Amino acid sequence: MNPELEHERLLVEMAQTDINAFEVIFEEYYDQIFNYILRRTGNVEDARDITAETFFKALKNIGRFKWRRVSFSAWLYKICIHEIAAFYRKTPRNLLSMEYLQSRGFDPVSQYDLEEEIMAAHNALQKHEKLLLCSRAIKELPGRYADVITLRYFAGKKISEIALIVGKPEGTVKSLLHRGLRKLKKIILKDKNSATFFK
Amino acid sequence: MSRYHDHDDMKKMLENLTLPQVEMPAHKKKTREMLYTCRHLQTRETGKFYSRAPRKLVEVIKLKKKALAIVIPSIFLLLGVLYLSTLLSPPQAVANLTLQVNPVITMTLDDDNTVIDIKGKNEDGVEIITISDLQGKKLDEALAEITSILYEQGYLLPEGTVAMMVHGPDNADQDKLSAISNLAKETVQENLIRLNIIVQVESFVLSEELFAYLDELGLTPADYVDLLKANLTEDEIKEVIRSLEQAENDTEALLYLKFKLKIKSGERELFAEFKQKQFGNLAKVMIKQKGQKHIQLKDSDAYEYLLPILEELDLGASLDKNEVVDRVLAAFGWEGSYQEFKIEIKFADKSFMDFKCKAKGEEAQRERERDREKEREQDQERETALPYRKFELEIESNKRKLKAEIEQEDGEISAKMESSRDGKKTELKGSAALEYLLPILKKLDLNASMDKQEVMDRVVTAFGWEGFYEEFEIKVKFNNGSNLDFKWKCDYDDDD
Repeated sequence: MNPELEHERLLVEMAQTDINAFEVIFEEYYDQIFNYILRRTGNVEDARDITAETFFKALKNIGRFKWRRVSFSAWLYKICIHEIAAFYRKTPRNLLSMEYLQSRGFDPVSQYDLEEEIMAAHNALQKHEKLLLCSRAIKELPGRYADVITLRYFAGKKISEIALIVGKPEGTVKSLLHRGLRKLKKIILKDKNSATFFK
Repeated sequence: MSRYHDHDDMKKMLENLTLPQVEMPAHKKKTREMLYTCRHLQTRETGKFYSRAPRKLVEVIKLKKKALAIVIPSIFLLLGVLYLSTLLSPPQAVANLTLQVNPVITMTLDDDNTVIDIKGKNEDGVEIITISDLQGKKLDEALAEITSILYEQGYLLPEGTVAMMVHGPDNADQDKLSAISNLAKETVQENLIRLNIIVQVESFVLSEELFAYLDELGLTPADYVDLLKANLTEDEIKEVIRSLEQAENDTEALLYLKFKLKIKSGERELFAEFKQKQFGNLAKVMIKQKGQKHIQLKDSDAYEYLLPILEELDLGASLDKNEVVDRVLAAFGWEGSYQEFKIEIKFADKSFMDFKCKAKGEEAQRERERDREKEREQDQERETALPYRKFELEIESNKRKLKAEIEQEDGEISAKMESSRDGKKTELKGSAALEYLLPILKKLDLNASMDKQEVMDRVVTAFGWEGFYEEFEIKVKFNNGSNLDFKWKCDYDDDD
């Protein structure tokens, strides 16, 4: 096992033995998961909520994770892409973690409290016009294309890693990427702001 | 074709896209706090995995199904519903729902068709429920969500079949079972239409007795759904399963009824055990490697690991021990030496093999190497040993003087050597002196009874003294306790 996977395995084992050790996992993965969701959604508030929900699901289910076909980070991304899909479904789901916490008197993450941070993040995001255009276009793509494209280009995952995350053979991932990029380009070219996109 | 008709520029653009890297310390902190308050949540028990059905039994079932000329469509989704009598169960738990999508998932329903518990019964099942929130939802909502996940995860393919199963106790309300079955079928069909997928949907009701029987055999619904589709009665299904199981025992049984192996070296240890039982097999594997985490596999995991190895081993009771060792080491990928090898096999034909051996292969070679090394050291020791306990020599002429001292005491050797010629003095001490003197002293080969002249001749030759010398003094204590001690001074008169 390579050192990276060995490190992951150790983190997971720690968290499975002592749930308090989940904090180490959270510290390790928060930034990359948040930024992946942010790049994909192009929306700071949505990225915040989906990130929180992703880690809540991971915490709740860490005991079930078995080191077999997928690595832990692949499993985490798997939860993440499912949460993104669930978040944008036509019939929005309740965020169970928030409900659960509120029922126990926890004050959920408040937009008001974090206004400054959100504004700063929002301003930073607005500087990435091309990415925002991409994010908008990606939302119009069927989920299977959006998953592979964003994992490849927004999270820097290898084809083999994407295959593990989306649970499809590498060949299928390549083909989804190929077709997805073609579709994405068509969508982008329809956007009135796309004139300078490929320049 | 314009450049926009080629998506390579899309790819290039994405590759070169500047990505935002935003830090959200406040949100991170809040989320951490939120998770902290959740820590007391017990992570839900991992669903008990169905022990894997004996692989060959499943294969035989498939073959038999072909023999029965049943049309076998691809099965990608299998849904089962277990309904429990409200009279026998606590008020909040009146029904269970089992979902299999390759994955097997069981959901417990209350009287209002609300999911009150959910378990994954195999790896894929656990994975599906890990990324979903079905508890507390109505059956139709839960099925809608599951169908969406299955679609997103690529389990639903147009040529596949969605099969559902409802089973309950003998006193269960059959109408209720049928209603659940129909509701599940309609819900899944509606969602498949919504997703624009054409997949065949099947739904069955079966008795608790048959379900328990098949469950005991370790069969998941996917293994016998085709028998249900063939409109066989439950007794006929049991009969087919029994005959298949018998056929498997008769013709397809694994070569080994029992296989127990232990290989051990200083660095590693491997233990593997397999026992064939009537229904399901017992299997255990443990691998220990110094400096690494131990690997322990049990039941289906160990079985999956061992089965291909055992199938390829091809051992027999009459096989030569060395051949057995070689084959086993190769099959288990054991590289290098071992200190202990122990194997115990009961073959399907009731013959036995049981032996153990130690330190073969590289280890034996290493042992030989160690012996050789020891011999070399002893040789070297003999070579470096000083032939004298003490040796003092002084030779002098008018132009040259040579002085050598060497003494061995309590295993330590001290040596000193001085030479002066025409006023130039050379002095050696310690190991340098020893290195110079030792080969000379070995060549000397003196003994206490030797004639003085012979001693002097040998010494001056050995030390390369050329020409005349005026004084010669030697004191030697031999290892055997004898001494040689004399002083000679040139008497010019004598010489004349």
